[in-house]
Amino acid sequence: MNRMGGFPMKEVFQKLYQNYHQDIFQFIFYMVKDRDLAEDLVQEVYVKVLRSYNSFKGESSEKTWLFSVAKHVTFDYFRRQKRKRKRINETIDFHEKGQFIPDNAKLPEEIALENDEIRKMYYCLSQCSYDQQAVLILRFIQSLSIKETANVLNWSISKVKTTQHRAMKTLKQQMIDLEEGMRDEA
Amino acid sequence: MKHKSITDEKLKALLNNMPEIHDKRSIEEIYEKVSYKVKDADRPLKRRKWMIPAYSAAAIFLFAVLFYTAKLIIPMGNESADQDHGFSSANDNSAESSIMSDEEESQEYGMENITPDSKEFSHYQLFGLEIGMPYLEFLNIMGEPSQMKENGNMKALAFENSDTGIELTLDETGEEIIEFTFYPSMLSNHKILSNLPKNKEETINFFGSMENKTSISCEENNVCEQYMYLMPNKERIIVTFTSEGEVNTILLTLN
Repeated sequence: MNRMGGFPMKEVFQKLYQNYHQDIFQFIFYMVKDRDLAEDLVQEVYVKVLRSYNSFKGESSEKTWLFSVAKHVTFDYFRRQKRKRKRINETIDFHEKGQFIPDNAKLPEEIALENDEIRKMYYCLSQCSYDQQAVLILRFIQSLSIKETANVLNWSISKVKTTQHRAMKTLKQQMIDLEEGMRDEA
Repeated sequence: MKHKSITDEKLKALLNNMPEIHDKRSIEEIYEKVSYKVKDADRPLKRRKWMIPAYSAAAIFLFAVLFYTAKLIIPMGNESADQDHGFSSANDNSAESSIMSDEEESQEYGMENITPDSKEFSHYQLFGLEIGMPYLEFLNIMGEPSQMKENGNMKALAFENSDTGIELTLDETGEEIIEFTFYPSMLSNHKILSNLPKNKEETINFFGSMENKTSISCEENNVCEQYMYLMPNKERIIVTFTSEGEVNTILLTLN
């Protein structure tokens, strides 16, 4: 029987699912921009969390703990991808930018149904570095405070602020480039 | 132009309006997959758990044997002589290089070119960095960045897979550095620059008491403090803090 801290595993799972599932899923989805992948990764988060639930000391809130596991799982995935790409000898700069290439056919329906500005933002977000994306998603899509974001990412507050500032600059530049690109085409 | 309409507030509002994305699977479906994996992962883990003391005992024993045989083969005299040498040179070269001497040997070779004996210093040094130094010498000391972006006479360098940690302004020839901006929060994994101060207390311990303390407005109506230090040859160091009192930037400049 799997029991954690006196609770059966199923009970712990249900509690976590009810409180945080959609938030965690959404965070992962916006990081990886792929529903199937987000489904796999969110499962990995539960496996990690349930296996170490007994050692959770409540130093951070349960919510930031779950988000931080989700961040690790997601960045681990990016790292594995990077290694794979290295093996097949593609020289893509992993660190700086997301690998997402805008393709309307792959646009998730939630985004495809939205207006032009949201679709643009979805694209611009993908052009930020992974660190910047994580900060933007946690701060403004998930509405976490700077302090909570720092806990999730295990960063100092000033690192969160600096990264957020740079992310906003990147977004702005991408928006401008996009608009100019469209004007040139017209 | 249209660009001016893109404000931070607008971008934040847009992000805030991004559609909610839901996992469409049922709780049962997810639980089934998760619990299978948890139970599966549990089994080999349990077997491994009691093995850990056995492994560590074996490792300690092996280490002890190796240590004692090594001691017999290599006379102790050599080792202490080496250490003495290391300490005395560290003292000569002031605090900066004592941090360096802890680093790998390859780094020490790089240092040789820039020890005080071989060059006249005209400027204040921060971990061996000074205004007017060639960019290549900078790389010698700091190591290769994991990433570099260039924009005119500005270079933005990232180390250890973090985001940009140092911005450099170069002179017209593009060879000599005339201004440094450090972001200590992005340099926490750098072998040398992780020693830069990260809060007010560390700043005062590091640079001493400031010449001048000012407050500037920053980050959406907050007030951030700035400490200014005047160095002997008119270099200035300006440390800017966040509203929480963590170091945001350290600027080393002549202006």
